[in-house]
Amino acid sequence: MLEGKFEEASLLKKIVEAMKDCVSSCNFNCTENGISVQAVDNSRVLLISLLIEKDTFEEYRCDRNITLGVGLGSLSKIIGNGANSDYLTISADDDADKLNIIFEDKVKDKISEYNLKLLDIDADLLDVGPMDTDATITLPSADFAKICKDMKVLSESLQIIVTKDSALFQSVGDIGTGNIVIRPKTDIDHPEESVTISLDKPIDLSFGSKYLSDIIKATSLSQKVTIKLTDQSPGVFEYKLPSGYLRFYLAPKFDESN
Amino acid sequence: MEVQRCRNCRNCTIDRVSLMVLTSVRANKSKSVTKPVHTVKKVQSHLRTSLPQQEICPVCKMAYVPYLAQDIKLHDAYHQKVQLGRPWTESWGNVLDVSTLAIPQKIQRNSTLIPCKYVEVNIDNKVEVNAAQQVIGIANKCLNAPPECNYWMSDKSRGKVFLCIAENRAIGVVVTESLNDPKVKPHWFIVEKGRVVENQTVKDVLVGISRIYVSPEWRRSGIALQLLKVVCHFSFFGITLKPLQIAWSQPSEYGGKLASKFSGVKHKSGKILIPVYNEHSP
Repeated sequence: MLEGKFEEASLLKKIVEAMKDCVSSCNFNCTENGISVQAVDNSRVLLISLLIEKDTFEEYRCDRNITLGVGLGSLSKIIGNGANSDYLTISADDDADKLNIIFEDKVKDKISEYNLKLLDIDADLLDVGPMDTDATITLPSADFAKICKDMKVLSESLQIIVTKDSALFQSVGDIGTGNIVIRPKTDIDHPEESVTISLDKPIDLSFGSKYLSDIIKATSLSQKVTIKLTDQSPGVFEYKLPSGYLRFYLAPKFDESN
Repeated sequence: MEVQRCRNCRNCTIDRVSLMVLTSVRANKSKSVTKPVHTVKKVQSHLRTSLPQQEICPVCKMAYVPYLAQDIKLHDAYHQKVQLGRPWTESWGNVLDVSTLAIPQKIQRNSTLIPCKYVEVNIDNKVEVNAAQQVIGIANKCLNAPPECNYWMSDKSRGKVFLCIAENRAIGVVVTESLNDPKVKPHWFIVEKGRVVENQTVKDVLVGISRIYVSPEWRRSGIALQLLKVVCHFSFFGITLKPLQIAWSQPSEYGGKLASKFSGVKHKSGKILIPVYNEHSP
């Protein structure tokens, strides 16, 4: 039996909204420690890794490990019916073929209950091994979203060049070029506005703008985004949850001549 | 986790982007000219995961990599050929005159009547033979059958290929072979059990159906039965074959149903029997 109660429905709404354009369906792997998801998009360019630890929930129990195959579009429609501030409880039996979703209005004496039919998704859990990181950038997620949106108008690729004291986001397209440079900054009054760059090795990687556009849909989940880059490896874009994370592993683009 | 570069970079069109540095343009020139100085193409890499790299389309049976644009394009083109039939040029094939026979020249599809014609492949036209081979290749793949004995390509008297053509596509095909060799001894076949009756041969069989196939989008319109009628009338000049003079080679489940309808004989046990032959008999 799985039962998890969110303090606010908005958290699950944001998570589903951040994922549903990348993957249409995925398995929610529920254990006593929380819920995790791993899914790869159809083009095998973007991997999503979600962990909602049990501390994220106001109440959580999972007696046995269960896997729930969920269509994210359908889940999004159902959880869209609840208000952001409602309590949201998800529950399922051990051999369930449906997921129960209950909204409780905190002010009115109103309870809304829905059932979502589960899918049988044939997907193995992928082993994402430990990755060395050459450069790590932490910046406000809203700033990163704006950079991606602004650069997308110029080109289908966004180049990220990280040096000792700055990170350059560069876009070179047919109509012109764009460069945005960010430097480390510490804001004690507003720590969420701080920018940190740590570097072991200079990095120059390019990513597809359309995939970055999907990634920045997670902006509302966290005030900060951490970008971990390694030469010739997928970039990791991590949004922290109250207890857990939503990570995107994005395969880079390479010069054809290489 | 590693990244996998596209193996077909040279031809792959996935997410390529040209990075161009534009030269300045003189304001007083009547025509503005932009001149790319340096071009670097970017190619999207893919995540290497334990997930299967290839998929096999359940309809057309083509194996392809579902995340490579080039493969997707190739699959779409082939899938359409399988579903709707291979494109067929108007001038190809010897058109058979079926106007005096009980063979309709229109096919009902989605409540509309579509004109069709029946042709015999002209083995002297190499392009046409090549196209017919592709149609038969599609049939073999969909029927999970081995390549047929290409008797029809060597000599008209050894076999023929008849096609049903509609909307400039080969929507149905039947490959026949002559069974006038006394060494080939057709037997009865119990359709329900899928078993050959030993020690009982069928006499007077003249033609064998090596392959018969209709494109999925055109099925349930009686095309296969019309093709069999064409075989009866046009296999030999001046002779109209009876259904029991036609034997079947390794009929599939649906082939067995078609054969039962066309030339099935009810045995006293109640079982339906059809004549079959071994295609690879010398």
